[in-house]
Parts: sequence; C-alpha cells; structure tokens
Amino acid sequence: MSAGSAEPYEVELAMKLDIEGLTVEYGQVAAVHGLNLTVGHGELVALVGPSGCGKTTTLGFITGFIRPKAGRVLFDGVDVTALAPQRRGIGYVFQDYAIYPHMTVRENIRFPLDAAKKERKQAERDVDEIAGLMGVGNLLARRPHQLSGGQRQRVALARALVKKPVILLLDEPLSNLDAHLRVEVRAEIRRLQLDLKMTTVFVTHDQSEAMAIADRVAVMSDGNIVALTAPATLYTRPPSLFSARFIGSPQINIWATDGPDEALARRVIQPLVRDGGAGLLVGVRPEDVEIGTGELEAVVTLTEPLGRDFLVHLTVGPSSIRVLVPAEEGQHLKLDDNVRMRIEPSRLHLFDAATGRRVEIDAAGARRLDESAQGDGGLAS
Amino acid sequence: MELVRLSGLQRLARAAAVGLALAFAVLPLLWVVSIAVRPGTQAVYPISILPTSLTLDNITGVLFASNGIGLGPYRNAAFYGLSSAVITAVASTLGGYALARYSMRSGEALLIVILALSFLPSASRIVPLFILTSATGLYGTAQAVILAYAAGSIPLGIWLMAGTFRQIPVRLEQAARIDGAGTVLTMRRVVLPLAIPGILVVATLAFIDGWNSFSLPLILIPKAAAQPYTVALQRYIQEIGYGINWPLLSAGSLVALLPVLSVFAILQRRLVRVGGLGGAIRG
Repeated sequence: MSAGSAEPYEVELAMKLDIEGLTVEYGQVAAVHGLNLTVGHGELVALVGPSGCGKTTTLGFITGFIRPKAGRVLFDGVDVTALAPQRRGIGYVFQDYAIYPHMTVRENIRFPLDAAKKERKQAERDVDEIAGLMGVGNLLARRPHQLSGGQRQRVALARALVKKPVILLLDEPLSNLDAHLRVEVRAEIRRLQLDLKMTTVFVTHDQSEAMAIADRVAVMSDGNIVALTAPATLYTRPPSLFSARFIGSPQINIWATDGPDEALARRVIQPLVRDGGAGLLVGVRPEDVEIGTGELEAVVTLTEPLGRDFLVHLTVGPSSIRVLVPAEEGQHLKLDDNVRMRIEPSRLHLFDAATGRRVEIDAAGARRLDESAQGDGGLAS
Repeated sequence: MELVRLSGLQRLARAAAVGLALAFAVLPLLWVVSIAVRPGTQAVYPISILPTSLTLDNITGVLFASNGIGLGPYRNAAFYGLSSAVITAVASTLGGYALARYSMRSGEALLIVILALSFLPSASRIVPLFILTSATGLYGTAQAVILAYAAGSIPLGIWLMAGTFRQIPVRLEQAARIDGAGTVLTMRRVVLPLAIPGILVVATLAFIDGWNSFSLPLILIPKAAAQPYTVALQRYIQEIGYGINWPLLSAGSLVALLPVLSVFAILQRRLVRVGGLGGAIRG
C-alpha cells in the first residue's frame, strides 16, 4: 500500500485466483460439481450461463459466504478456503449495489478503510481520489436515495476499489441499468479494469455482455464450466452444443442427422463425412447461410427486420432454418417466396449427439472428437 | 397522497367514521382533563363537558398537599418503566436478530408461540410471579417489578424486532463483511443504525406498559415509598374517603398522561417511519 505516493492505484496487489474442485450440493443455492477455474493476474473472466447454473454460487465460494462440500480457493497460490470473508481483501459489486442507505456517499466509500482502521486523513484522501476516478466526486455529501441507478453503480464500484482489493468480483453489475447506460458503463468498467490491472470475475447471464468485456468467457451449465476460452473462439469454434446455442444471437440452427431434420442435416454434411453422419448434430449460424444461389430450395415463412439485417425464417421440407440477410436483400423477400440457399461446408459446426462435444472432420472424412472441449450432455441438456 | 378518488358523499362518510372513532378514543380523555381542572364542587353535577370555571387546585392538591401523593410515585413509575424499556430493547434486539437471521428448524413456530404468550392477560401472571419473587427473595424490590415488566414486554418486542431485521437486506451485512468489517463493526455501523426505528418502537411500548401497570406493582411492592403512581393514587383516593373523589383522581391521571404524550410527540416521526432503507436496493 503506497500511502501518499503519486500513483496510488497501481494495483500491484492483484492476485491470481484458483478454484480447485469446487463442489456445492443442492440447498439454498444452485449446485456446483467439481468446478475448476484459474483467473490470471489482471485477467477478466466472465462467468456466463442461464440462471441456476451455479455462477453466483461460485462467487459466493470465492467470497467465503458459501461453504463447499469439497474444493479449495487459492489467492496467489495461498489456500484461503478457511478464511472469513472479511479477511480475504476482496472487492465486490452486488447486483443491487447494496450501498449502506443510512450513510452518505463519502461514508459508504470510506467504510472499507474504516474497517481496516486506516488513518482518517489518508482515508479521506483515498476516498476523494477513487471518487474522482469513478466520477462521483461531486456526490460525496449525498445519500443513496438521492442517487440515480448509474450513480449508485459507480459508488458501489468505488467502495469495492478503494481498499485496493486483491480480486474484484462483479455480480451482474449492469443488469439494473437502462439499456443505453449498460453499454456505456460496461466499457468504463473494462477500461478501468485494464488500467488497474485488476484480477476480475464478472458474472452475467447476458452472453453479449460476457463476450464484449472478457479476456476469457467461461460458459456455465448445470453446475460446471462447459466452455472456457477467448470470446472470438467461443463464437467461431464453440466447443460444445450448449455453448454454441448459448453464445450468439439470433441462435444457431441445429439439426440432428437422425430424426425429423434428417434429410436436411445429412444433405448439408454430405461433402464432409464419408460414413453418412449418423449420431451427429449439425449447426450453422444464421449469418453463415447464403441466399439466392445453391441447390437447396426453401420457402419463406416469416421476415423480421432487425435494422441492419433481416432475420428470415425458412423451411426446407419439414425443417426450419433462421437466416440473417442484409436489409437490402431481406426487404424484397415475401411470405411463401421460394428461394435458393447454400451453406458453405467449412461454416458447419458438428457435435456428437450423445455427448454434445464438438466433432472435427479430418481431410479423410473421419470424425475426431475435439479434445479441448468438455461434453455437456448433448441433446439431453 | 390519495390512492383512490372519493366522491363527495364518500368523503362525508369517511369524515363521519373518522370522527366517530376519534370521539370514542378522545372524549373520555378530554373528560378527564375537563374534570381535573374544574373546582371539586362541579365534578359530578351539573353534567357538562366544558368546565364553567378553571382551577389548578386538584393538581397541586394531588402533588403537593400534605396528604397528597407527591412526585415520588411518578419517579418510581418512570424508573421501573425506563429500566424495563432498556432491558426489553436489548433482549428483543438480540432475540429478534437471532430469529430473523439464523434458520432454526422451529423458528417460525417459536415466533408464533412467543407472540401468543404476549397476549396472555397480565393478571394470569400475578400469582406465579408472587410465588417466584418470594422464593427468590426478590419480593418487594425494584428488580422484581422491572423484571416482571420486561418479561411481559419482551415477547412482542422480539416479534417486532424480528420483523425489523427481516426488512434489512442480508446483502448489506455481506457487503460489510466483504468491506472487511467483523461481527461487531457490522452490527454497530450497518445493522443497528438501520434497526433504530424498530428499537425505539419496542422501547416505547415497553415503557408505556410499565408506566401504566397497576396490578403487578400492587401485588409485588408492599412498601408505599416504592410504589408507582398507579398504586399510590388508588390508595390516596381510598384514604380520602367519601366515595371516589373524581377531580383529584382525574388530576392524578392527567399528570400521568403527560410523559406518555410527550414521548409520542417526540418520537412520532421516527415511530411512523420504519426503515429508512431507501436506496439500499435499486429503486
């Protein structure tokens, strides 16, 4: 801690975070089954997944409020599993901010320093500094009920950062903000996190938020991480069916090679596989389907203008397909039009129908399971 | 702010209903005041709400005449009531917090039992308390009445405090922990400040309960010098004789009303505004 130095927010204190084998059983919180996660120095990892997937449970374990059945949490290699929450030095921003309603903004931000028995004058200087950084320097005398949602958010962030936390945890920090504010604050948080080199875990249920802010995205489902990779890879090479479906909007098209979509699925993978493709799930993102050329004949069932693009719903035989088409093309399509379409085989994502794991096809047309991916139950999930 | 717009007739009906309720509650009180300040000869006859002439003789008579009860009994009642209020506030805060925050298998049932107990008539406790205080050697002491008062007020107090603490989000306590505060600091700086309105309500109710108590001290305190005004006043009226002296009794009651009224006057805003939680949670 650099009392009075010129650059007090150089957070050399940021630590590496390791979670090993976290297991929490069903109870008042969502269960987690043997979760492992490492967040490097100054890295931002987003935990993303549907509600009940265990992401908040994982945060609760890092803070120490949730006692696991098994598992350890390490800060910079030191096991802190048994340490009380107040001794872990964590910064935390709650979804609803949890600002102390009976204290002024100044008292709120100073509270962690008071708890650490920091000398008052120095504490006040720290408060002024972080409040300036967060743009709430002019609000210090106010009380929480006099603040807007965005201002409360900044106060909560200032309170989390003022003690120079070893790890910063953000639990859905944007979900209570208006849509336009959300993008703005998201960018601010990312800029701040990069400046301060904070080791950060960011929990959200919004896949686009996770993609936009994180160094790596951890997709969670049913109490475990089913994909952990850089945002771009997650999108272009989803390691599992669940993450392919969860990431990307509009959602990826998925057809099984066995069942009602059999005809279409087998036809599009024909150039790739030799064995006919039994037991596979075929996925293609809506923007990877070409319209106007090709051998497949489809019928337009609905067009939705989304602004720059149109989302066009088509049917091919019994199968339906969503296609993203540029607006200038999309506006000419009408209900019941017959259109030609084409799917470039290299754009296809293949998954094992039983396990949900990504399947790669080698040059000889043979299947190979993607070893880097973890399965997530395939169709069952 | 009016939530529902009322027609003229509805408004009239509402005013009449409120007026009736008010009359029921306030008229006897006004009558006491009225009788207390009129000369003794006009106490019962002629029947009138407004006194025809005013005097402070009754009040000075009760308080300062050589045979009056003096200020001592009021001091006693205040001491017993305040002591009980303090004990009740502390015990209810602790008990209420435990009930609100720690999941107990029988927590809900316990709360109901506690509340049911608080509705038992205090008369039903007199004989057991007499036996209990005699057996423990507390009979006739201040501790006996104070403990008895507090025991009567704590059940409702715990109930009210459990409700108060349940309104304080657990998130705030977790936030304090993460901010580095231990149990004591979390309580002192975050939880208790937010619980103050509830604590004030509980303490006020306990004080008024003790202040107004008659049958308990009548039995538990034989010594005249230690009795509260309720008992002293009754004895005083009896000793004067000639039936019930309404003007003097009213004057003694009027003096007893003043502390209660002033407590409410001072605290009414805080008593009504439960919480002060605005801003803790999005809103």
